Amino acid sequence: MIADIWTVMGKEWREYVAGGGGGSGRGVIAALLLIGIASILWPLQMGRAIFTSPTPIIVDGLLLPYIILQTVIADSFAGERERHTLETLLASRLSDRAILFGKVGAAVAYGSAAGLIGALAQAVVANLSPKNADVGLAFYPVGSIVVIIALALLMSLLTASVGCLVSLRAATTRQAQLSLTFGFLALVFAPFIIFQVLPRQTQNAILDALNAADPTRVLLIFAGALLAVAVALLVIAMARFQRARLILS
Amino acid sequence: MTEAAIRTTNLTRDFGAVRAVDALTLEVPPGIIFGFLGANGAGKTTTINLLLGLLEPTSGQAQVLGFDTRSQGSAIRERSGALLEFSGLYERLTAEDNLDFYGRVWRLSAAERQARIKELLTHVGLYDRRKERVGAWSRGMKQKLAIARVLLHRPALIFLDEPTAGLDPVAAAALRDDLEGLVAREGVTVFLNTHNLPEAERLCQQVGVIRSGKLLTVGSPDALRQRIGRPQAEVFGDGFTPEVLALLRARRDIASAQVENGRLLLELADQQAKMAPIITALVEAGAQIEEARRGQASLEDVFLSLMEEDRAQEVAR
Repeated sequence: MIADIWTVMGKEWREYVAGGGGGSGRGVIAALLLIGIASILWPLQMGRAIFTSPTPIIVDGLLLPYIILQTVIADSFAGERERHTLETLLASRLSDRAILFGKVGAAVAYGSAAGLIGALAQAVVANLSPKNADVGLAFYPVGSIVVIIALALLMSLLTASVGCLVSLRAATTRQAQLSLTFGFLALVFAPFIIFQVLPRQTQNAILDALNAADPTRVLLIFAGALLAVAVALLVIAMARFQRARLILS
Repeated sequence: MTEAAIRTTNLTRDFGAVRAVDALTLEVPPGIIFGFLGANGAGKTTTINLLLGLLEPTSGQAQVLGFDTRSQGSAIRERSGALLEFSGLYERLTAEDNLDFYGRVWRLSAAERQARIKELLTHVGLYDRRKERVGAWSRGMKQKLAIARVLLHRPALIFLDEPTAGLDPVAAAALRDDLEGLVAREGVTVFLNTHNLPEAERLCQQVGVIRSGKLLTVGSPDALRQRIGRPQAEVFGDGFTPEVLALLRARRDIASAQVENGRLLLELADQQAKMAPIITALVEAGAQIEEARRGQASLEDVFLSLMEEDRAQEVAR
C-alpha cells in the first residue's frame, strides 16, 4: 500500500505543479501575498528581532500551510469529480486508503514545505536587512524552528483532513473552497467571540491562567489538540470514502 | 471447458423505486468483443459498475474472471481495465504523464512502463505528441489515449462505455480501427457498451440487447439477424406503380413492400422465400427490372424490432 500511496502523491504533486498550485489559482495569489508580507516586509523591518518573535511561528507554522492548502485540498475529490477523472481512478486497482492517504500525504508535504520555505525566506531576508548591517549572520533558535516545522506539519494534516472530508461531499471545487474558508473563519473567530460573552471574572481567570502557564506546555497542548482533531477527521474521511457513493455522485 | 470471462445470474440493481438492471443472466466467453446494446438509460453503465464491483447488486450475483463482484471487486479491478463514460484523463498533465501514472498504479516497472507507453502511443499515432498536455487535444485523440491507458497493464478484460460517443465519423472510424487492431493483438476480452449499431455489427462477435434493465436477447449478430430479422431484398428498375405494390403486398412470401428513392424495398416473409417467383410476378405486372439483390436485416433492424416487440408486450401487460 505504501507504493500506491507514493504513486497517488506523485500524481497529485504533478497536478499541483501543472495547475499552478490549485484549481483556481486564487489560493496561490493569497499565499504569494502572505509570503510577500511575511517573508519580505516583516523581516526587512524587524531584522534579527524576527528570530525571537512569535510571528514566524504563527505565519509559517499555521497561516501559510492553511492558505496554501485550502485551494489544493478543496480540489482533491471535488475537482476530480468535476473533471470526470474520479470514476476512472475508482475503477483502478488502487485501494480506498491508498487514494485517500495519497491525497492527504501530498497535501501535508506541500503545506509543510510551504511553511518551511516561508521560514527560511524570512531568515534570509532578516539577515539582509539594513538593520543588521554591522552584525553577523543569525538564525532561529533550534526550539523555534522545531516548533515551526511541527506546527506546519500538524496544521497541514488538519487542513488536509478537513479538506478531504469537505471535498468528498462537495459537488464542486468552488463549493468546497467556500466551506473551508467559512469553516476556517469560524474556527479563528469563535474563541474570541466566546471569550467576549464570558463573565468578566471568567475572562480574568483565563487570562491569568494563560499568563502564568508555561509557554512550552501551552504549545504542546495546542499541538496535541491539532493532532487529535486531525486524526479524528481523517478517520471520519476514511469512513465516508465509499466507492459506490462516489461513483453515483 | 473454458471459464466464462463474465457470468451473471439474476443480477439486479435498484435505485430507489427504479430498477436499473433487472435479473440479468449473461455469459461472456473469453477472448471476444461482446457488444452490450441499448438506448440511453437502458442500464448499460450500471451493469459495468456492477461488474467492476463498484456498485453492490440489490440481488443476484456476478463473477468476473472467476471473482465474485460483491466480495472480490479489487481482484477484478486489478485484472481489468475500464474506459467509462468520460476519458478520465488528467488534462493538466501530458499524455506521457497520464500513462506513466496509470503504469505506476498497475505496478509496471520503469522500463516496462517506458516500453509499453512507446508501443501503445506509436500504435495509436500519438507518440510524437506524448509531451503535450492532454487538455488541448481533440476528443478523438483523448479517446485514443484513453484506450491506450486501458490496455497499458495488459488486462484480461476491458470495459468500454460508449467509446466513440460524441466523435465525428472520421475520428470514430479511426478509433474503431485502432481498437480492433489493439484488441486482436492483445487477445483481450472486451465488454463494449454501445448504442452505435453499425459499430457493434463491425466489431462484436456476440451482442446482448438490453431495454429498461432487462436483457432481451443474446447471440452473434448473424444469429440474431437469422432469428429475429426478416430477409430483405432490393430491386432496381422502373414501373413500381401502386398497382404493382398492391400485387406484391398480397403475396404470402412478402411481408412488406415499399418504394424508396426509386428502389423497391421488400421484406420477405421468411428465410425460405425465393426471389425468382417474385421477379417473375414483377415482370408480368409490367415492371422493368435492372438489378435485384437479396440481403439480411441489419443489426439496427433487429434492434428496433426487439425494442418494438418488448414495448408491445409491456403495453399488453
